[in-house]
Amino acid sequence: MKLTLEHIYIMTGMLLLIFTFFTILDKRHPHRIGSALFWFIYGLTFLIGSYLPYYITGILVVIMALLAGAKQVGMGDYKSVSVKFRFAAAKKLGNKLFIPTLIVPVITFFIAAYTSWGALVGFGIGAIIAYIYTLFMTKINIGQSFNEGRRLMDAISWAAILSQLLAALGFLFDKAGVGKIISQLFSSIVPPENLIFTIIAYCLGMAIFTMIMGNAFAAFAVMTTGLALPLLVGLHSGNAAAIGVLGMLAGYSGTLLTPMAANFNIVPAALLEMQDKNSVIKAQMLIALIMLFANICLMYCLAF
Amino acid sequence: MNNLGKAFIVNRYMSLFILILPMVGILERYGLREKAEMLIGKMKVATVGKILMMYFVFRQISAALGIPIGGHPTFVRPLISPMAEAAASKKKQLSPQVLEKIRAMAATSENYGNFYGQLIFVASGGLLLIKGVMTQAGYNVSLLDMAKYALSTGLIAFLVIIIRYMIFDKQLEREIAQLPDKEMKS
Repeated sequence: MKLTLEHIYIMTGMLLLIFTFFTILDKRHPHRIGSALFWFIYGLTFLIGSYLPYYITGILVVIMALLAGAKQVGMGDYKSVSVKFRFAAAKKLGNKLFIPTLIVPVITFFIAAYTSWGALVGFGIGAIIAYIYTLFMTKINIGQSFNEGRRLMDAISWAAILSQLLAALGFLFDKAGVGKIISQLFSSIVPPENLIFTIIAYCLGMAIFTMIMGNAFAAFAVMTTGLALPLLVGLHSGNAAAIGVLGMLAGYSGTLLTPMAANFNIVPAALLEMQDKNSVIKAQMLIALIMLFANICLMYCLAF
Repeated sequence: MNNLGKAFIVNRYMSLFILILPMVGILERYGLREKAEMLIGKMKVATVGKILMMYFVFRQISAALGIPIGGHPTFVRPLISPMAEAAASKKKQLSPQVLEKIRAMAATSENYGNFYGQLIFVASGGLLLIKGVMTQAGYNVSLLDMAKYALSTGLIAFLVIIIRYMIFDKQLEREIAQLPDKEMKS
C-alpha cells in the first residue's frame, strides 16, 4: 500500500481532534470552548480539507482568525511536573532521551531516499514511530502524553496556522500580478546600459519580491524572465548559469527578512515560544544584507 | 474566499510539525532540557556560539550533499536551542531578553545552513527550478556549473556567519556577566 501525504494529513487532523478533546476536558482552561473550537476546526481542515469545497474552507479559516483575534486561544492546565521530577528523570534516562529526537530525521531520510513516498510522508512516519518509542521508553500514561503535546500546541497557539495563512497571501499576490509590476518597475527605473545598476536592480528586485511572496522560488521566474534574461544575459552577454544561481541566492536574502516566509521565520519563533514573533528576522538582518551585497559583487565578478 | 481556502489547503504541509509535538512534550516532561543542561555542563568549552557554529556547519554540509536532515521542529526546538540555552545559563540566571536572543540565533543557524548549502547540491529543487526557467527561455545551463557558483556564495556565507557567531559569543558574554548568579541546586 502506498502511503501518501493525504494519510499524514489525516493523522495530523486526528491529533488535533485529540487535542480538542483534552481541551474540553480541561476545566481550568480560561478559554475552554474557544480554544477547543479553534483546534477542532483546524483538525477538520486536515481531515476533510481535500473534500471540502474551497469556499467552505475559506470560511473556516476566517472563523479561526476571528477566534484568534478575540484571544480565545490560549494556555490551560496540563498536570505538569516539577523541576525536581524533571531532573530526576533526566538522570535516570540519561542519553536515551535523545534517541527519539534522532529517530525522526533518520526515518525521514531513509524514506525520502529509498522509497517513492517522499520526505513529508517520511517525516510523518518518523514522528509516529518516535512517539511510540517514547511512550515505551518513559512508560507515560497515553492520556498524559497528549496533554504534554497539547501544552506545546497551546504555547504555539494560533501562530500554528500563520505559515499557511501567509502562504495563502503570497498565492493571492501572485494571482494579482504583483510580480510583473515589480519587474516592470525596476526595468523602467534603471538605465539598462549601466551594468552595475542593472545587477543591483535584479538582485534587489529578487530580494524584495521574495519578501512579498515569502518564497524565492515563486519570485524567481517572473524576476528573471522579466529583468535578468533580457538585460543581463541578453544585452550584457552575461553567463546565464551564474546569473540564475546568484539571483536565486539574492532572493534568499529576502527570505531571511520576511514574515511571509513563515516556515523559516515565524513558525520557529512560535515553536521556541518567543515574545517577539519577528525575533528571528531581526537576528538575520545583518547577515541577509551582507550576503545580498556579496551576491551582487559575485555576479559582477563571475558572470561578466 | 475560494482562493483563501484553496491556498490554505494546498499549504497544509507547512504545519506537519504538529505531529512531533506529543513526542517532544513527553521528552520535556522527562527532562530533555535538563539533560541538555547536564551534557553542556560537562563540556568545558561549550559556548552558545560554538554550538550554533557546529550546527550551522552540519546543516550547510548536509544540505550541500543533498541529505535532507535538519529542521526547526526536528532539531532546533528539541535540541539546538536547549543546548545553547544550557551553555549560556551554566552559572547565571538568564533574563527573558537574553533567552530570546539565544533562541532567535539558534533558529538562524538552521536557516543559514539550509539556504547557503542547498544550491550546492546538483540535484536540488532550487537548481532544477532555475534550469527549468532558463531552458524554457532558450538558455542551456548546466547543473554542475550552477552548483559551482553556489559554492562560491556558500564559502563566503560560511566565513561571514562563523565570524558573526564568534562576535555574538563575545556580546553574549558581556551581557550575561551582568546578570544575577544562579542559585545552586543542591
